[in-house]
Amino acid sequence: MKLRIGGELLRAEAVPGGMRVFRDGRELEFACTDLGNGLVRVVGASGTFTVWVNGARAGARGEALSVTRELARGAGASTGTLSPPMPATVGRVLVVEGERVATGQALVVLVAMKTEITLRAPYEGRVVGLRATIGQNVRPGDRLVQVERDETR
Amino acid sequence: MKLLVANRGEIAVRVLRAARELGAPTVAVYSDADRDALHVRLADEAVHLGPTPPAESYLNAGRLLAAAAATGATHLHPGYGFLSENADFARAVLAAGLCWVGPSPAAIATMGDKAAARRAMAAVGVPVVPGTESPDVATLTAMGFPLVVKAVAGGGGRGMRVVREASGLEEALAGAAREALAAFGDGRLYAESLIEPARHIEVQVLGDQSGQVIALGARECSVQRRSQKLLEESPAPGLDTAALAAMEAAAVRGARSVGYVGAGTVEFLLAPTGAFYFLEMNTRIQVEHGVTELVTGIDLVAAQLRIAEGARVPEPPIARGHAIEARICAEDVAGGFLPSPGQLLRFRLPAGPGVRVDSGFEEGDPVPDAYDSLLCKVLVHAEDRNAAIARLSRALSELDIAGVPTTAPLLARVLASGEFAAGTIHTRWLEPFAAGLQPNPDAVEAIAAGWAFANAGGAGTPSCAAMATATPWQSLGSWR
Repeated sequence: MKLRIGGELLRAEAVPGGMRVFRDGRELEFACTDLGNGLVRVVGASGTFTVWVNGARAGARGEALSVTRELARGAGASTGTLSPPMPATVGRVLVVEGERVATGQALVVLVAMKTEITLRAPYEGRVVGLRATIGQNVRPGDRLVQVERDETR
Repeated sequence: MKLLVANRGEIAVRVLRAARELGAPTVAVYSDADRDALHVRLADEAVHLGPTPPAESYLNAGRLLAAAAATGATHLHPGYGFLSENADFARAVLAAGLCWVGPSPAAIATMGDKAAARRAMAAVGVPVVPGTESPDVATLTAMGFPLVVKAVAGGGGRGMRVVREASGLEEALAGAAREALAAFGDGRLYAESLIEPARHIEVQVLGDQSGQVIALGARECSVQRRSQKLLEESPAPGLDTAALAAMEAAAVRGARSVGYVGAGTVEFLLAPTGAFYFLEMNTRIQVEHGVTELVTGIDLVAAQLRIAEGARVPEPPIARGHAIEARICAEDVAGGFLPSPGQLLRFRLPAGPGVRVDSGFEEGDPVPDAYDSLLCKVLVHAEDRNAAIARLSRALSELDIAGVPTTAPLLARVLASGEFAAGTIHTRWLEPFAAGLQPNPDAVEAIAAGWAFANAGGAGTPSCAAMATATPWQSLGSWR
């Protein structure tokens, strides 16, 4: 299978007892053991890693990356739907339903671990489907607000 | 003494341990999210405060005082953060007949008002950055750029704006006031000339009820993101004896002028010219107090408790060796230090010679989004700075945390950098350094293997998730 990790494209294929990874013309073999609970022990020439997998997020040794399976071309185009990057609380809602917004305009401010995270308009358009209220607990995957692109664009 | 610890996480654990060593019975408090937390398990008694949001639990003065009354606690230790620097809370604790383990409410109030603190320090000859308490456009334009606008009630970088030219001034003043009002309920601002590049160096002080104050050396804390520290060490590299003595004397003079009792920290900015300026005073135990403990041999939390009981400060000891602390926070560094709540699927901590770990978490624990991102602190002590760097690098390589990203890989790279070795890092160095880093290629490859294994099933066997999305035809296909 082809994987997109960060901005990079890698290929992985199953081998007995693990995975072979192709990267930059190199082949690397890893022995993999399912530890349960979303954990995989990965042993390769570069060492032993406890890899955790949580949907499209995965990590090892404190690093976390987004991993997606590379599907047919054209999939994954932005829909303008904004979702929290982590579990958080809605701190402020800066727009109203139907409001016109500019690219990069702040729409909703989330608070997680005492830090503010601002969800911004990915492009110019109109706010539709605003479903964020102050104090609400939100999770990744929740659709908080959507920006509808102008028809003419 | 029966001690209630009005905090959570690693600092609650730290204080509970000190109290137990002194033979004092202990009371922990907890919110819904912390029901099974380590600090609850380590206390003799524990009281449920309320729901997870801090306002209904650790920031709720009424519930904390009720917990103290219900358990017959005689002393209250506030830890750091939450209500630790809230003069009204300190007054309420004293009014309830409890002993407040900290400085007087008046000292907290003076140092908490950053403009009043500047005045108090300048009055006793502690150098302050040139600045003004009336930051209007005309005054600031006359003062010149670059400058920094700060919240009078501030701290932690909130309500703070760096202004480099006149054109951005009005907007910066409005923005800082708005942020300060939202964060502290007080929109007052002051402004200072910007000292850059500056190093953050702070002096640990300890005062007692007889009016004696001692200094316990300096900590270098310039490795910061969002004006918050990630690596701290003592002694401060490259700070000569005369400069250290001048800083310690200024810190003692400042603390004495407000009648400081207990453990506190006087923070300074060190300019490239060698001049140093008062930044602020933290009227509580600090996250990074452990590095001072390692080099001085003084247990600062035990000292706080003894001083609250009327003990005198100890003789200042001779510092020995070098100590460094790494803050391991649940943050996604590549995403711009994005806070990353989750669950600690694996949480294996380093050990061995010269390694101390202060942690508030155990394997399997949730990491709530309602609280700070600090998971644990890894501290090392060694005979000199190079040995301490090597020891901390070794300790971080043993750390095995899965389930949330952490600051550990970044800090390992900082320790390996030429700039850290040279001891010349300034407070704005880390963020561009972190932004320029690529993920560790070994980790990327291991993640690819692990993710593919979990999502494709080991050795060609489809996983449940893959089966669920496959059509019957595809599933049957492999039989033919």
